[in-house]
Amino acid sequence: MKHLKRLLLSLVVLVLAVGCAPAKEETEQVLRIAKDNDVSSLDTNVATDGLSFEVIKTFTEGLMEYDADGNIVPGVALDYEVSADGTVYTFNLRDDAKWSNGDPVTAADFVFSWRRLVDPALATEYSYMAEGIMIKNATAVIKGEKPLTELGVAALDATTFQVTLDAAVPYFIQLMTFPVFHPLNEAFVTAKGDAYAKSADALLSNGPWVVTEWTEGTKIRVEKNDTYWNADEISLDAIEFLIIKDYQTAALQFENGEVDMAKISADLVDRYKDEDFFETKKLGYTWYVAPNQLVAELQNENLRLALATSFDKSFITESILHDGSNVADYIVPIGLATGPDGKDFRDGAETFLSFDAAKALEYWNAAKAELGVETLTLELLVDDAADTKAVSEFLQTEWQTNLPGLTVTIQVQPKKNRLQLMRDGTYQLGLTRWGPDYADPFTYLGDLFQTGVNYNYGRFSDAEYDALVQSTAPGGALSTDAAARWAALHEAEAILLEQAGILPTWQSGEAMLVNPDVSGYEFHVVGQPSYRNVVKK
Amino acid sequence: MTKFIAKRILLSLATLFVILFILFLLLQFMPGSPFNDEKLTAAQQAVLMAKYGLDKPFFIRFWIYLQNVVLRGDFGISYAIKKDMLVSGIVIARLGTSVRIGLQALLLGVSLGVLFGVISGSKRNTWMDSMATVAAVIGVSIPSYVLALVLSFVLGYKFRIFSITYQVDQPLWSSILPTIALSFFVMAQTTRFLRTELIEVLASDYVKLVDAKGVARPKVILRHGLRNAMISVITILGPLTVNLMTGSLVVERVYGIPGIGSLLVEGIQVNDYNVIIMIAFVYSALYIFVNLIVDILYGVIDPRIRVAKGG
Repeated sequence: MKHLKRLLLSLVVLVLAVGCAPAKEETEQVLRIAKDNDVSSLDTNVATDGLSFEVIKTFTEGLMEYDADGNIVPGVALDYEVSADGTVYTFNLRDDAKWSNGDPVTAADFVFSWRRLVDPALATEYSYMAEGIMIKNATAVIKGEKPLTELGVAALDATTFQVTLDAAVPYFIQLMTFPVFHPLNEAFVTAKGDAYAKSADALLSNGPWVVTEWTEGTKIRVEKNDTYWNADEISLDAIEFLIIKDYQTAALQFENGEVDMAKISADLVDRYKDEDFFETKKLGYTWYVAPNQLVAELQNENLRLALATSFDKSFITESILHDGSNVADYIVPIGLATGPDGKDFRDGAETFLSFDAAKALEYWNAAKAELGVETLTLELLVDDAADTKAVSEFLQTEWQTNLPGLTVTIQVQPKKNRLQLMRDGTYQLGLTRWGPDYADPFTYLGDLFQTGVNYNYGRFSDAEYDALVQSTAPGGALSTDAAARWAALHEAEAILLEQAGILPTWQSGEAMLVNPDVSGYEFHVVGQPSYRNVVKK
Repeated sequence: MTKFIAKRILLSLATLFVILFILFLLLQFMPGSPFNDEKLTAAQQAVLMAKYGLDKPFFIRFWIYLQNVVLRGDFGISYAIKKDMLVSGIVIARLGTSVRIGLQALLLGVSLGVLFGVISGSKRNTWMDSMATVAAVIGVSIPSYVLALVLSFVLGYKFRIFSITYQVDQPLWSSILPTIALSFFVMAQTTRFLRTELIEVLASDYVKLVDAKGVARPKVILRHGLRNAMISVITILGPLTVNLMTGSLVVERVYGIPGIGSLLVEGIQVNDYNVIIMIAFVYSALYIFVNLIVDILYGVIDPRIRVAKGG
């Protein structure tokens, strides 16, 4: 027994020796944000995911930035001139912008970064953006057919940066806020070599904060950058991005005051929705079902219309997701783009394919007659995420109830596999979404549904639609006539949805817990959130 | 004994080679690719596959990979989770935490299990025995993640004694809750096995003889009973270690521990091949290592069991 007592005693001593948790004392303003994923890269040109871009935005600054109201305002650029044909942009840079090592931020830093973005040796995923905004020779450089020096960018002098485009791009200026186009200090990047951007000390800042800590799988801390030209306007001393993958844990941490902001999942919304620290916001993602028109039955317009109007979308947003998502009777989301009239694209715009069970049944009966069938079985392909699985089960029930004779099976796949199947066209109905890269309806109407484009999973094809969208494309007939272009985009959306080329379902929202002492947090439907004006009491 | 150990080590290495090959082969059949993003064109995907050498034939790639692993300990770079960073760096940065918490749980679980096992085995059918049995049944039936959630809710949130999440700057203090959550199953299994075995041993003839000689009861239990009964505990150490590894996948998530379990799950979700291979490989190596230790321990504890002839 003596041995046992000794063992027990030593265990008690061990626990005591580890000691009590030291109390934290705080005088500086630190914003702590719980994040459900980790950054994949802090390399400006290499990063691809939302959190990476969000963190990069805290320590770098682009030519242009968003203000609190979502207007585009100068960042490193003081101002810019555009040539009459809209293909040459000349930016005048401020001369007080500095890197955190004291070097000035110059036009050459932009040239270096943009060339690096399209360098075939680096093969960055976001190089397609350089093609998207039609920088001269971008495509040939990416393919390795022309040298980097042929890219249409130039440093006219230390503070004058010039970009030449192949055609006028209506949304060029707002893309100058996008992190992949931010400057890089050539001497620093070259000196670090392969180690560049792989640890906190292998990063340089020209933004409001500088990365001081990057602990694998745990946290990223950025601290105020005193060399930033506008440092006086920045109130937060530090921001900590804490990687907490479990929403339940993040919510408990929030309640304990350990984090100031935490995203929560649908199952937690009921517990918090009446609290003053509960907030929802709209995101720029529209979720839709893409019917694959390689499947003979789905070429039938009445069948697509029946499917599109036979499920109660408000049940999805209010009872399944209830995170601020809203019913999408459209494809271009609310809050995405402001038109030449200063109004949101959706403001006063038509809606399509609203839930109407009676009408759906008519479509269904017509479809059955046209197809000469009484029963039909379709398969719905979805991601293996909790919310998409729940939505798919609801869709299955609604379709089978409201369209008697229709059987729907569900195929659940990890997202990457789901995308592969949809891309290959080996699916029937697929629940998917699109995250916009720039605040223009073209990111939906142009990038997704033209004949033959990469992401046109359902192989929707309509000559009139293609012609209209082409006229609004960079270099298209309407690319410099903003009002006519806007009207054409509205018309194109109508063509797509009136024949149910896709089945819009909901626009994403996000439920968050936000410390009431924190103010000035700016969220943008497109682009990254900004913490520049955040004040924590 | 030395010969036996040397033989086992060689066998382990061969097993690891086969495991590496099978892992590499299995990932060929995984649908999709790491570069299957919504926004990548087919041409870009091809460029990326070529950049990372994924377009080469299977055996050539395996040969290159094998050389890198054996000669440089280089398991390749991450394609998605930490773009272009060495997988070995990421995994090693996290491995220590996982292994430490796993060992803490094993130590705590086995210690408590032995304590409860001895009490309930030697004081059979008393209230103490019943308590230990009930605790063991609960421990075996409750999954570790449920316990993890309960612990963090009660001790972390309600009473605020411990931190809810793992803190890198307080590695021991903040690992107490996950350690307890993981150790419960170990404790329960150890108790159950030890109790059964101890009862049997204590009823055997040689223990009766020692008793008859008038040796003090505690000494009988510890010296003669426990030593023989421990064989059963050692037998389950291997399976228990596996259980700790799989249990840690969820427990790491609940407590936000930067360990390799959560990394493996993430790697599988985004097809990050090299991350998956290295972690699965490390898990296999750990398992093989534990089994090797167990086999050696058999011999130490009970000289009657020597696996190899003349060992």
